[in-house]
Amino acid sequence: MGNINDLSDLINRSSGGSSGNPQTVFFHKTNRIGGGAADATIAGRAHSLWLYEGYPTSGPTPPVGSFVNTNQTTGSLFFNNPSNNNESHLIQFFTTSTFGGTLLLYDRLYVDGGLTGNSTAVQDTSGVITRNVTGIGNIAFLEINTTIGTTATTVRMVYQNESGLTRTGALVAIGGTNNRERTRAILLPTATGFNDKGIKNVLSISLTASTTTAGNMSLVLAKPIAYVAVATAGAPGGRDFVVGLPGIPKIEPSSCLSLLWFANSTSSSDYFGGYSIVEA
Amino acid sequence: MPIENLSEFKSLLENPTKFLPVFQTTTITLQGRMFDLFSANLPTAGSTASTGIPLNSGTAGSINSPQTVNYSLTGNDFTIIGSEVNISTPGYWILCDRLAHSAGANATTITDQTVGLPTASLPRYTNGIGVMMGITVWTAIGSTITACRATYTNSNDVTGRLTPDIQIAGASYNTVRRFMLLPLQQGDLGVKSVQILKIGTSTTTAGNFGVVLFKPLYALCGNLDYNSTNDFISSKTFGGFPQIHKNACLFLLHVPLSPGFSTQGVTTLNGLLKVIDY
Repeated sequence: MGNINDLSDLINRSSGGSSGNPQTVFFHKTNRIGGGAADATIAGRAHSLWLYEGYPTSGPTPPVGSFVNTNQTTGSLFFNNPSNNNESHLIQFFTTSTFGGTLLLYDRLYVDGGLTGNSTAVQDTSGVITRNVTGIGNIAFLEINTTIGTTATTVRMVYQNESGLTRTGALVAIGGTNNRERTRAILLPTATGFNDKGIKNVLSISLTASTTTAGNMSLVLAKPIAYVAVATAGAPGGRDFVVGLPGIPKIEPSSCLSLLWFANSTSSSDYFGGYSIVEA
Repeated sequence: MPIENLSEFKSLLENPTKFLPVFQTTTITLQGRMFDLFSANLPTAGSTASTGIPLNSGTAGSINSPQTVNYSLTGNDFTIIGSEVNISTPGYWILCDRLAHSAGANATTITDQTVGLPTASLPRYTNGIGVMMGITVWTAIGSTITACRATYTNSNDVTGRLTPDIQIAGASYNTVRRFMLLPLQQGDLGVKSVQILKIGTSTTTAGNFGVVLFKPLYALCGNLDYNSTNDFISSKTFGGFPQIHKNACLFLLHVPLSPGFSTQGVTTLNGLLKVIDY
C-alpha cells in the first residue's frame, strides 16, 4: 500500500479503480472575519486564513491550551480519511484570488492557544505531535487572532528538533506595524548553525519585550504540503502533480488541511480553489 | 467503470462517448472577480423565470440540452476526461451544476426578503454536502456598499442557519452577473435551501438579485495561448475525472484575468467537453 506505480496506475485510481476512492473538493474563502471585513494584508508577509469565512467555515480562535487539529476540527478543509490502510496522495491543487500572492496548503498538526503579546515571561506550549511525527519538514508560526501591540520587539521559540534535541530558535520580529495585525502569521525560525531539518514539538515561546498589547496569539505546528502561486488578480494558479510524477505529496490520515497566504498586495483577497486526492 | 491504463485513456480521448458543446459569451469588466454566466447570451440566456423550481438540463440557460447531457448508452453518469476550448479572456472557467436559485430581491429593502424563496429542494446532491451558495446580480444594484446575509437550512436539516455577512453593492460588487460567494455558518458542512435574504442598508438602486445553490465540478484554466487542449495530464484542468449527473444544469462561473483582453469587447469560451459514459 502507498505507491502509485506509474501514470497508468494513477489514471486507473483517479477514475475510481483499484480502490483509488478519488475525492475532489472545492473550497472558497472570502475576506470576511466574523461578518466584518478582514484586516488588510501586508505585501510579502504570511497570513493565516484560519479565521476567514467561507466554505468550509472559519475556524474558531483557539482557546487556552493545546489541541491536536484533525480533519474533524471546525475550520479544516474537507478531507476523507483513506480506507483499507491506503495512503492519500494530492494529485491537483488550484486556486484563483482577487489579488496576487502565493497560497500554501498545509496540515495543521496542533495548536497552542491563548498566547499573549505583552508578556516577557516564558509562555509554555505543550502540544503533542500526532502526524509527521519525525518532525522533518515541519514549521512553526505564531498566528495572530487579535491584534497585538505597536511596540516592535522580537520573539523566539524553544523546540525539539527531528532528533529530539532541545534547541533555542533564532529571534524574529514581532509587534509594531506589519508584525501585529490580525491574521498575520509570524514564522518562527529554527536555531542558527545547527542545520535542523524540522520540528517535533515547540516547548515555549518568549518575547524579548512587551508589544504593550496582549492581543491573542496561537502557536501552530504545521506540515507544508503544496504551494500555488497566483501571479495577479484572476490569474490561474495551479499545481498538477500528475505531470510531476513521482513527486506526489502524501496527505496523512486525519490531516487538518489549512491555508496560509503570502500576499503580494495590501488588499485582503477572496479565494476559490480546489484539490483532488487519490488513494493508493 | 474505471479507465484501466494510459493506453485506454489515450484511446478514449481520441474517441470519447460524446463531445458536449460549450459556448458562452458575455461582457466582463472586472479582473479577478467572479461572474455568473448563466444569464449570458449563448447558448440560451437563463432568466429569472425558473425561480422556485429545481433546475435541470432543460432549464433555459443550461449549457447543455437534455438531448446531449442525458444521452448515455449505459445509463451511467457522464465522466469528463478532457476538453478542447478556445477562450478570449484568460482566467478560470469553473463548470458547475446549478441546483436552485432565486430572483427578485430588492437592493433598497432592508427588511427580510423572501421573494422567490425558499429555494426549491435540491434535485441533485440532495444531502447538501459540497453544495455552495452565492449571491447573483440579475440587474445592476446600487453603488452604496452594504452587507448581505442569507438564512438557510444546513446539510443536517437544521433550519435558521445564518451566513456571516458579506459585502455586496458598490464598485466591483454591483454589476450584472457579478457573483459573490456566501460563507457557511461556523461548523456547517453544506446547504440544502435558502429561506431569507437580508441587506444592511439600501444600496440606492433596487436592481434585482438572488441566491444560487450550486455544485462545482471542474475548473478550466484558460491560458494566454487562447486555444487549449486539456485533459487529466495537461495541467490546465482541475477536478480529476468529474462526473456530470443526469439532468445537470451546467453553467460557468468565470474569474477573468484581464477584462480588456478580448478584441471583440466580450468574453467568449467556445469548445467541447470530452465525456465518457462509464
